[in-house]
Amino acid sequence: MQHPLPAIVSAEEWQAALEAFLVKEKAHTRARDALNAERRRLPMVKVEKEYTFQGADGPATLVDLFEGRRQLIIYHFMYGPDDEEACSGCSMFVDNMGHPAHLHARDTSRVLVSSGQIEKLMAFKQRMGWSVPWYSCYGSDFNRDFGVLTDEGEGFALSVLLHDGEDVYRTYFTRGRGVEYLGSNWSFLDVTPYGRQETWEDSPPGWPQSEPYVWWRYHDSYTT
Amino acid sequence: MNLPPIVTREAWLEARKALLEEEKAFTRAKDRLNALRRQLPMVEVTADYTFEGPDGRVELGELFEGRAQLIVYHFMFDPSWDQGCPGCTFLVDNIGKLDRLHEGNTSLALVSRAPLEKLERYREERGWSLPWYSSYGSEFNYDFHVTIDHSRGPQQYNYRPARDPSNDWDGSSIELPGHSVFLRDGDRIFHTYSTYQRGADLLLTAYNYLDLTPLGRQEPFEEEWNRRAAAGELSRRDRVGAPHGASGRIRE
Repeated sequence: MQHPLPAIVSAEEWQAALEAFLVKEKAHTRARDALNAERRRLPMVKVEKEYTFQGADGPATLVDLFEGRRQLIIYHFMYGPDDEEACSGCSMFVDNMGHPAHLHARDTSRVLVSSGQIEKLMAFKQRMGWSVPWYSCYGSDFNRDFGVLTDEGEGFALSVLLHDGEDVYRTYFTRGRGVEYLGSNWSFLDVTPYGRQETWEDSPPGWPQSEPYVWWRYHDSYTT
Repeated sequence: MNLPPIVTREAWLEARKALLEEEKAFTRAKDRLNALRRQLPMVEVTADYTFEGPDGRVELGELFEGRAQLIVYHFMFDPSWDQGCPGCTFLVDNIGKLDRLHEGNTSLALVSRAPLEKLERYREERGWSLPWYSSYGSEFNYDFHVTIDHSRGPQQYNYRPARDPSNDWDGSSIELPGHSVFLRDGDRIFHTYSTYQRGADLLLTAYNYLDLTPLGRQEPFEEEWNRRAAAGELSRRDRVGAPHGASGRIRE
């Protein structure tokens, strides 16, 4: 291997280093618990406008996207009307989605919404072998109203909504690295000695690294 | 049903942006923690371990499938059981496609102590495709502290003395979950990292999704955090995770 290796030590020394590090990891886990507790206390805003989406089975309202459950997570997947290809980063993100039964058991649905036409979305979904519900908001104000489409163009993002009777509320919105915890690929690489192997990471000298965002491919398009 | 307070878009934005500052600080804290993990030393694996896989007997080096790094999930499946552990099943349901990990020169495999036929049957039942090896009859699970058997002397789990399993159930040993990470350099294999219990929290994608919802994971341990957040008792230190900050009083 052409890359340098971590220091090789005895089992006792390694154990001592790991135990010291574990204290920091545990503090980090508790900090996340505290941050999550604050998120559960955010207020929410009623969605007043009517939106129409196209799904695999025809037109749908925002309430329909909940599939009868109380909470809805929308991943705003970048695949616009003029895009020839779906976003490869969003595709990697969807590849990391696990079986939905565990979210459903907590009264929570998860869907994708894109501004591209439904036919295009369905064709790509089939190619990728995904089962997650995917809706088109083509021709509606949804992406602009939800802060996904700005004057700078369309971005990826995540919205969370709550449904109470006939009313729908927006509780949360995040973008950029706010969705990072949902991409288990990054979390798995984070526990390895070489990490994500991206140039922004603070790693020992000589660690394998390449630019972020550019090494991702569709899962059927890697050569290795 | 109890609802969060309903406010105007402007009031929500203000509250959301205040939380965003904390979220960003937390993400940076995670970057620092990950940087420290990449500085950890490692130990050469000198024991010979053999496993039973779909293609017959293999050694630890073969679990790398030719890649430089290997993540093993120690899936709890005692040889006497007919079904895998439900919590481990939940974890595996959360594992996505492995192509991108492979692109990062990293393989992922499950290892359990039950005989291969049981693993294969269960894997088929669940519709999983990831590699799963049996460590039946090998020392692997004991050496990596995921099978605890007090008849072998004092045992460690999660870097602490492990409880005697005979207090909890009538078996002589107990299976416990964990992840172990290995690095390969030619024929030499090194153990770089192991994590147990909530160390896998970030790998449980369904939890990470639920954490973003108003109702959260809907588990009892969240109540204490809810109470403290409501009472304004959370300090910045609690939220950002100063390395020696928060104590272990909430959840192990």
